[in-house]
Amino acid sequence: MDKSPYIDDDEVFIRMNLTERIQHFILIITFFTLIITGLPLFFYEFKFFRWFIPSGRIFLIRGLIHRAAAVLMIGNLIWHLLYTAFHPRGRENFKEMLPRSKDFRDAFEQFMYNVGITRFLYRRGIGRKFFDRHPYWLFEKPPLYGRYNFIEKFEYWSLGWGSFIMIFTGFFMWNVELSLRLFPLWVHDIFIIIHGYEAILAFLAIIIWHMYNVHFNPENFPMSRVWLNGKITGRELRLLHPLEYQKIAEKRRLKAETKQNSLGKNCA
Amino acid sequence: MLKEQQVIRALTRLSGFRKFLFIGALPCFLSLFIINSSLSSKISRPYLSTENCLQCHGQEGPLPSALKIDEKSFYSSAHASLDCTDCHAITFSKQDRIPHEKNIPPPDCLSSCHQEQPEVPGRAGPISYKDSVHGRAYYDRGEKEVARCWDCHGKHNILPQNHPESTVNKVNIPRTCSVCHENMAVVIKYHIHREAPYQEYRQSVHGRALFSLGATTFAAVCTDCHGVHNIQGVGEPHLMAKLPTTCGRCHEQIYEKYKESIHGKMALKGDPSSPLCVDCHGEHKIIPPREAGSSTYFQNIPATCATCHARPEIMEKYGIPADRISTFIESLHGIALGYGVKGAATCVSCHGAHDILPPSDPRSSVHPANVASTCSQNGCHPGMPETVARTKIHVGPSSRYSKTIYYLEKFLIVLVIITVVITIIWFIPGFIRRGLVIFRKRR
Repeated sequence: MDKSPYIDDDEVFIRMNLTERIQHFILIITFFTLIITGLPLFFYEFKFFRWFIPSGRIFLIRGLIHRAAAVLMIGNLIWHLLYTAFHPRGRENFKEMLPRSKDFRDAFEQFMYNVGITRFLYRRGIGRKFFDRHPYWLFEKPPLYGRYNFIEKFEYWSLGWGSFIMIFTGFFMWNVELSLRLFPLWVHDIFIIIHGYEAILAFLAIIIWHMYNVHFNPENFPMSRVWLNGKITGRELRLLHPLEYQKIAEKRRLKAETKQNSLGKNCA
Repeated sequence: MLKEQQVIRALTRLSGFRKFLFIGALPCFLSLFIINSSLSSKISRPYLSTENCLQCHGQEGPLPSALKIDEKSFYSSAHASLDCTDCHAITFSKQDRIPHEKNIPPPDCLSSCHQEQPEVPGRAGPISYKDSVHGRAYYDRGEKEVARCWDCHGKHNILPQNHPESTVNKVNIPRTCSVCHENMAVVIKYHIHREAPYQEYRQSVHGRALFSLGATTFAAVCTDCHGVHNIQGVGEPHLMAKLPTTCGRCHEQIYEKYKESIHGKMALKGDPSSPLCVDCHGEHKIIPPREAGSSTYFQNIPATCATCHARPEIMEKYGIPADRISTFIESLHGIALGYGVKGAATCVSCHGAHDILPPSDPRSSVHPANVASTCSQNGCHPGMPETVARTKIHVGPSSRYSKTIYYLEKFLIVLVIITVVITIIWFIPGFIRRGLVIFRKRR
């Protein structure tokens, strides 16, 4: 992405405001609390968890912590929903977050760019005619992302879907009597199994996808500090979120032009 | 009657002097006759008083100490009034001359005196020793080391059973048996399957009641379960020590419950696979259920039940699936129990302990009509709806019987694996490329 004259590389943009950072922080705390207190039930045969939960009393406390964290997480989710519905920035984020066909294309292009097999073939002189006619298939450059790339979107929506499933099944696991009043026992057993496997999926998704995205990125290698101070520089914006960068630059250009126009009018 | 009358008539006809002669001569003739008969038999048994024997065999006698006896303990024993020769059939090489011959047979208590009936009805008298595991080894197989009368009752210091120092007093019986039964040479030689029964017994409820609580009148000791003189070996049919009726002599109420249960009914009918008291509670080392080492400790109950209920070859006979234990262990009840939650439901919480009945029995706690109330007992699941009885309980992902759950879990496992594999395939090139970028930047 070329540098725009309207945005300085050192200029600071707010990527996560305070509300979003607090929500993100509560999510981190509750998510890992739920994972730590929930995994011993899923991997009950592991010796490690026997060491982690040495007595029955601690097991019961584990259950209490799990439920407390769940309630906090649900509260956080409701806050987030209200924020998304009523705050202008929340609404804007939601619009940016909606999945589009571009995201699927991005995933494919990113993968092909990472593999780089077509570039390799081109350099070897294989299929040169085809690639000259269709330079898209060379994947010379990674796809350009907006405010949220497809990985972030995938995480957001899988978290939303996962939260829905976990809250639904978890609520009925918490209230067994109610669950058995409404459903037969085998449905309740299905709730238990889905609760466990959805937890594993969510855990893996967070560990692999999210850690990959925010830590193992050459631009912010050891760790992105966005989640702490919410700030992102113009340079990072240009490299990681070029379409967002373009959008802001375009907006500023238009603003500057109208200003100039109005100035010109005034002078005239 | 007739003879006596004739003798009396004959005596009344005799005069005073003749009468004196006759009555005086009668003992003389009799004694002559006895001496004559004893001389004619091979074993000569002249009258030797205990004092005569103790001249040599007493503490101050000239004999080596192995042949001496303690006069004091002998005179305070139950046999104090007997003579040595009543038990020891001594013979003389030279007529009537001391010392007697070296090799004399061991005393034979059973044929000479102890043929009495037991004081307590139902208990075996001394004569039944001949048919015990010890007696058969001695009489049939000629084992010389096996326990004989005096190994338990003592030799010259035999005391009545109720004497506190008697070796067969209730308090001392476990120690008396342990002399041989904790001797590894004996245990190995005779293939005895318990190596340290006394040490196990000491830790058991019965041993603690006897030694620590001082319940010396009713705490069960070895002989209460194994029998007194008629002790039988492992492998005998209807072994007293294993029969529930033996335990039921003291544990009456539990026996009444057990008798009605499916286990008790089948066992008392003679079904060899049905559990007896000892199969769940253990044998010598019966520990109360509140202690962690006990087989009936709440955390050990699934393992105890699993000795039969996880074995397909036994469960096939009764048409019970053999996955009852595994499905329990992977259920939330089982997981909580595995982590040691005291209130977690175990097998006995729902099925009962001594009064286990099949679900087809209307009295059973797991009969469809009673399931809801069983779930709501002890405040576990108050307000459990009746609909809980409509579905099977012991279903889990590992069991093929629970179709939906079984296949759903397989599907979910595949889903997780596919997701992870796709993610890894997707990420590996990215990792390499990004790693290269970082590496180059560092350089």
